[in-house]
Amino acid sequence: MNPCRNAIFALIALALTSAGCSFSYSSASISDSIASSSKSVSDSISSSSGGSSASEKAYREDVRDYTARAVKDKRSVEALEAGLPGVAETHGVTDWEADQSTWLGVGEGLRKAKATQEMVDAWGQKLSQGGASRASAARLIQQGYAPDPS
Amino acid sequence: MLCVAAAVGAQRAAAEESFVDFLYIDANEDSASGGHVALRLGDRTFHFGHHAPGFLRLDRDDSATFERVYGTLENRNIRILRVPVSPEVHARLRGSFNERFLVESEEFAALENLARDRAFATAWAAGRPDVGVRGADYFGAARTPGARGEPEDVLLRLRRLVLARVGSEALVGMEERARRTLERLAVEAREPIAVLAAEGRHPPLGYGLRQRASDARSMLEALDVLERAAPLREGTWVEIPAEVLPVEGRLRERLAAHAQRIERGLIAAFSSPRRDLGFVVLAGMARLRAIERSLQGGRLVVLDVFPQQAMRISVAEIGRQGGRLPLIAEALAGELVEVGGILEERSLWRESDYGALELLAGRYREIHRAIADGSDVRVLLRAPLPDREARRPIGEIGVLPVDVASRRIEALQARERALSTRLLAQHRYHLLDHNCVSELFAQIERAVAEPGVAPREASRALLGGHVAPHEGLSFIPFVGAASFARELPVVASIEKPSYRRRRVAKMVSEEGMVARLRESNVLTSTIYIPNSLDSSFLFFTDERVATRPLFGVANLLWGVAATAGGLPLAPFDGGQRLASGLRGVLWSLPELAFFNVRKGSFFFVPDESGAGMRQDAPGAS
Repeated sequence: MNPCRNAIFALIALALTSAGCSFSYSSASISDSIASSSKSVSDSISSSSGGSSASEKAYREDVRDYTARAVKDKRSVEALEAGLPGVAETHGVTDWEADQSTWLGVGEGLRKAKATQEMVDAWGQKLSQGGASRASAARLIQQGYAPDPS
Repeated sequence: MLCVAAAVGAQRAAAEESFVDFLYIDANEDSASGGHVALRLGDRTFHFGHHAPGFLRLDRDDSATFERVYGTLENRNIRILRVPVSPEVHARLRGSFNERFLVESEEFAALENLARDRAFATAWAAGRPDVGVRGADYFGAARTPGARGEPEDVLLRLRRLVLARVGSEALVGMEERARRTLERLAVEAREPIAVLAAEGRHPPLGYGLRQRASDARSMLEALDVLERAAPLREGTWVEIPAEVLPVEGRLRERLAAHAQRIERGLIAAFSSPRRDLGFVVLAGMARLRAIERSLQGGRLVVLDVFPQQAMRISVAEIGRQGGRLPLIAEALAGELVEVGGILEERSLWRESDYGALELLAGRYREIHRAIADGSDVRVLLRAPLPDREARRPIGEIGVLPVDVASRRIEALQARERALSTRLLAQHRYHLLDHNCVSELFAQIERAVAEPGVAPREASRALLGGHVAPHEGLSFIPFVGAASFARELPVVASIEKPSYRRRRVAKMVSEEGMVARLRESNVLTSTIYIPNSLDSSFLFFTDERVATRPLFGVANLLWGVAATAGGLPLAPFDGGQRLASGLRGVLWSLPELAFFNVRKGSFFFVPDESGAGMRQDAPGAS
């Protein structure tokens, strides 16, 4: 074993490895998770002029896009329902049934996927079954589905 | 240099149109030393990253976080190539990237679930079936003699209200259903496992036996905690001193109102059909207990939202990486106060608003504990959730016959292999063929694709230009960025200098050239703290091209000296200084040929404002 040759190989390997794409959890992203340097948490819950916080808008957008994708993939309403907790938890939401953004996002997703009114009615009816938490689900889904008045 | 025409044009366009920002992130050591690219679409930035053990996956950050991580902590220059598009095209691109992100996240979650299902089946076959019950750890073990604490009002009240709403029969029915679910599992284990969905289809999340067992056990646990009105278990909450954030006045009122909202949600949830109801109830009850403590004690008490297996980083390592705990503690206290102020003004809190308090309080406690007793600092790399898990045995499910267990484990392994193979085929990382640049261009192509229209034409129609994903050397980040600038109608090229350059520029404007001289090297710099993540070097070479080879020689010699000095220390420091010296030599070599990679990095940077932005004419770089 030639130590000099090994050192050169190690340097080349290091250069090639690190020349690649950014790693998902870099040292910087880890240190940012210990102490975000720029008030990121307060920014995420601050309301914009529209009244919704960045975190609320981000959650609703994800529900919308997840729903749209489910419709395009011809998944069932049950499959959509099974996936919603996962989407919600990435936003720190456990009680997604009680969060209006969930149902508004589902309605917006149905609109995005160009679902028919019949489908909206059927999904709204199915998703609003099952207790007080979902009492207004069908109405909110319809509200999200309806085109903007403007 | 400021190109007024470009700036005015960009401002005019801003009033009428949306923008797609292609970001080229300069090289630095650590990962992405060849540079990186990303697409900023409003407040979200999408980019492809290397995930173990060899996947190329779409990552998503909020745009401020992305800039902070790459531009400030990793100290890289960011060039923004701005292309105006209609709001419809902007929404189409953002929707396409976001849908892909969500689908990918679910696919990889499905793979992780299969591995857990297999582990569960193996433990069951060995006669030791148990499951993780999320949220149960806050209350300690169920039905353990002596673990029962003094019942506290908040859960007794909840129990009374739940009974009034759904009746005691409903709770008995829920318990019976959960037990039946567990008892049926041995029969269901004989059923074949569904084959993987066809190629190209979004595979639905399975509802495997492990998940069913976990949900049923969680429900039993939640009913038990409610029945006992169990107290929080010691060590599962975080307390913030009243000097930092007193729970009084309006904050107290808001917390009490939020507790009522949680309570209403829990009462309603008892009639919900959702599978994971047990977890939701456990999490809600634990939060009610924490708020109760806050209101009683006048100081903020929140649940510890760090998972038991959270990543940990030692105080010594934080120090080596340039972190200063008192500074971090001060910043976190400031942000806690700020968040408290925001929430005082908000009459209705969302769950994630309260989660922000849990997150910041948890971070604050971690740093203060580390300062006080030197314990490791835990890192939370996901949204805060009150889901500390406790393992619970599930004797109800009986014995799994050996032949059934073998078939099931084999079937799970086969499905896991099939999904893993498919994901590797779709998402395999390759430095040259399939990397962060080629896949970003490919995803842009997919986003604007039209049936029956060639990708180039579809992209030109919507974006005004096209970059083919695998054309020439465009897989190299800076070549890809140049191709983007050349092929698309870029109206502004904006350079956001790295953190250190921004700080130096500000110092030079205030103090003159003495600041530039002082900040040119690691020995006298007041901005930079040498750290273990950066290689050994003496001079910064990212600003002046002309002096780069000269400084590079000095850096090379410095690296050689550090290597020689690190050699005898290797048995004592694990070879850290030696490795740092060797890396110092490596990253000095490009400097001899006028190239710069190494820029230094930062563990922590306090809130900074007034960062300089520079706009150049389109295409300038």
